[in-house]
Amino acid sequence: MIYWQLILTFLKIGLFAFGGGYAVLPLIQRELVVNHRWLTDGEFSRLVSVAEMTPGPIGINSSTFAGYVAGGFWGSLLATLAVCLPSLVILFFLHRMLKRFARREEEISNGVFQGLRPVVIALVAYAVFTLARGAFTGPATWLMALAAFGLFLMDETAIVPIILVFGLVGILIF
Amino acid sequence: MENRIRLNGWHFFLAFFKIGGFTIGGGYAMLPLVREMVVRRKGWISEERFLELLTIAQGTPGVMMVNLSTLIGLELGGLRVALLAVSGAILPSFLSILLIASVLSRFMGNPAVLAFFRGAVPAVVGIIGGVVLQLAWRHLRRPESILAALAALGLLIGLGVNPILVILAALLLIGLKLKLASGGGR
Repeated sequence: MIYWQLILTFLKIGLFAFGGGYAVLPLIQRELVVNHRWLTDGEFSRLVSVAEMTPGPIGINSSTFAGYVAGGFWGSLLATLAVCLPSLVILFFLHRMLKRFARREEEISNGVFQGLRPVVIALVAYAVFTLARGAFTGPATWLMALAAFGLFLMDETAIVPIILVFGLVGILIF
Repeated sequence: MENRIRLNGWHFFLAFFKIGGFTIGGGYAMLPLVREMVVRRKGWISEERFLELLTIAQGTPGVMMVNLSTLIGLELGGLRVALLAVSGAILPSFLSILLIASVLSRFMGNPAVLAFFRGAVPAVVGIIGGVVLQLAWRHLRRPESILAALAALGLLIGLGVNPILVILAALLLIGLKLKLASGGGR
């Protein structure tokens, strides 16, 4: 039964996709292309480029796409829900546990979270690096990133207008 | 649950739907938008707590953006709000892929769409870069924190270590440090 297989596979991806974004792609590729053959290699690389031109995280985009190819609309819906379910369950309990722990052992909890701050910020910087590696195709893109950086620091509330403006600039110059 | 707020769930869903729609270039593109909404504009969560939630989201399996939406929902209103936040956040992604896979396959090669993304993604890089600068400026004030962040970045970029291993290694070091600080521990 294809739906059942889709659910199991995407539960597994949701449960073992550690590290987020591009760190997860090899796992998704192994499941979809090698283990289940729902996608060919060509379709998978097409999926990656579709994911780059649509909103949303690649984990969701690839689940929806592979689910659709393997099982139509219901396949895409089940795959997308299945990839989110482990997060919801794990975090529901973890959030409670950590809150309770923080009340009981405030000092340790604060110490751990504060100690992890440099790593958390480094991970965001790493996301910038990974994204830039694909997005910087020439001097124009560098300048656009720099301009967006400056505009954001001037007005933090203008994120959406900044993205739209540079998208339009892209249409004009590329 | 001291910081629970009476939220209109539907508004919360719409806010995350909008954020999901502008998450261009991968999950982390959501970060500036979420932070702007829940920390800066509405003041629902302090930046310190936001960083804690981000820590949990990065350290647990699954799609980072789903994790972060779940945690913010749980923090602000429990499971119902978490479900609304997650569905709002993933719906734009789901709908656009579905459209492309079913009827809009021609959209794929459309030069205007490609050009839009070629312009928008560098802007997203700049915006997340701005967030990194702000977070580092406010929260990495001590030299050892800066060194730790640079070391983590070196492992991630230079050696290609999986993020989760970097978090685990940091947890180990923090554990040792806390144990030493408490004089050998219990």
